[in-house]
Amino acid sequence: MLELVFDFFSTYLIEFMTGMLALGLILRYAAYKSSLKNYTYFSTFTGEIEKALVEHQGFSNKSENTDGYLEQLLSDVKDKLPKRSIRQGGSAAKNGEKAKEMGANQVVSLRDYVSGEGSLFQSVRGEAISFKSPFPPNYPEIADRILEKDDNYNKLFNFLPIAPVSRLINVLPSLFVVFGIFGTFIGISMALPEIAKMDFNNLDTSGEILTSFVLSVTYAMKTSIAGILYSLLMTVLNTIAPIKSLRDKTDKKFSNCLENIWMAIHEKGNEEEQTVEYLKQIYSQLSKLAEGNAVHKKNNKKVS
Amino acid sequence: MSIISLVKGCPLFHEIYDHEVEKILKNCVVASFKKDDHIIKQGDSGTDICIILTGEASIIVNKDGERKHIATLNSGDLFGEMVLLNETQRTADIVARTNCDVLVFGQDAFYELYSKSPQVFSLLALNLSRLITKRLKQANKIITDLSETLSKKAA
Repeated sequence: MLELVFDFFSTYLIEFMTGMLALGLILRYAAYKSSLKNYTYFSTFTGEIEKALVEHQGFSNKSENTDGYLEQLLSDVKDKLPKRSIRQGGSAAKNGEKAKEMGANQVVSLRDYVSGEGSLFQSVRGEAISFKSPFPPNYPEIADRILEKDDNYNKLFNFLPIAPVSRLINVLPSLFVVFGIFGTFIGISMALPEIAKMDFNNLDTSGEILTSFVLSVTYAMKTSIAGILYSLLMTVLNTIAPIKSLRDKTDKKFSNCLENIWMAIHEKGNEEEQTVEYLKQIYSQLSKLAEGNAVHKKNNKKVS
Repeated sequence: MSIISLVKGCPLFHEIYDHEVEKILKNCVVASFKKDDHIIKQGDSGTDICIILTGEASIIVNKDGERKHIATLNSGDLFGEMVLLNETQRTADIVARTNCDVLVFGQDAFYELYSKSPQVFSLLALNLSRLITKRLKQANKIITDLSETLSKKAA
């Protein structure tokens, strides 16, 4: 078995690494594109939610009627979001006919609904209980919970989980270096027995052995060079267009949006505004105390 | 999000396994209605059974030109199930009180189960009977209350 692996890598290691690079590049492209699409989608979502929050400032009893308020916000946002997974062609036309027949605004297949906006909105509605809480909930955790259920956010080509793919892409540069070193050792281990076969007393007949030795050493060098080059390429791509940081940005944006919803429901400003408000209160209290002291001193002077 | 989490709690799928519910619903559609849209019109004929996924809807009965609000349907509630008993004529208006998403599946999807999956078919039929019995009990209670009120008034 080990012999088989050794034979394979001693012949096809560079091809194997090139295949890995090609697969890595395809997955990387797809994962980045998907993350970028999700970033745009959630940016629009948060932007529209902010607008809706301003528009519905006058909504009465937000904390008691949280479900109604959330429903209002989501229905305002619904039509303004980019479409995520509505299939084109025959089914869209068929659904259009069905919508007309039913007098509905829009008809989509259940699969499209589950993988489209419907899924995200249902998950947000499912977290209504957290928004009802008078104490600020853990927004990143809620954001994680909601995003975990969103297949568009978590899956590549509708079946491949994006998080492990992203992790694999991140370790690929190190893997290429390891494979390069592996190839070097294989090359050297192939070259050394050739040296042992050489007859140093009759160098004329050792030409073929020397050629074979040099070829093995060349193979060792080539695999290292390929490993370093591929690693360099992936590292540059990971630096220029990082997938993880894009996803982290999306998470943060969404988490901040949830925080804004909670603050709107409980009619509270953000931490900075609250601090300014507290400072103003402290200042007015201190001013009153200072005034009281000044009056007290005046009265004391008059008495004395 | 899975299909199952959408219809969780719907009484029609009580005791039916998740993968079976997915099979029943896989070819269904979701219709979106705006506030005040008619989801179903009284007197129309139709063969669709509907489940409210989001939003609220009112059941309104038109009689002698008068519109009477009977009940409010919320997320997870089922309507139009009478078509399974060959009552294809709609007996009330269903009007969206808020923007609504409604899961729609035809009676054919139900009848197909008779040959394909008799166990699931019988469970659906049992759940449907439970649902109708529950509504019948509610109707009986209302009738009893009304007759009591009337007899008090008469006395």
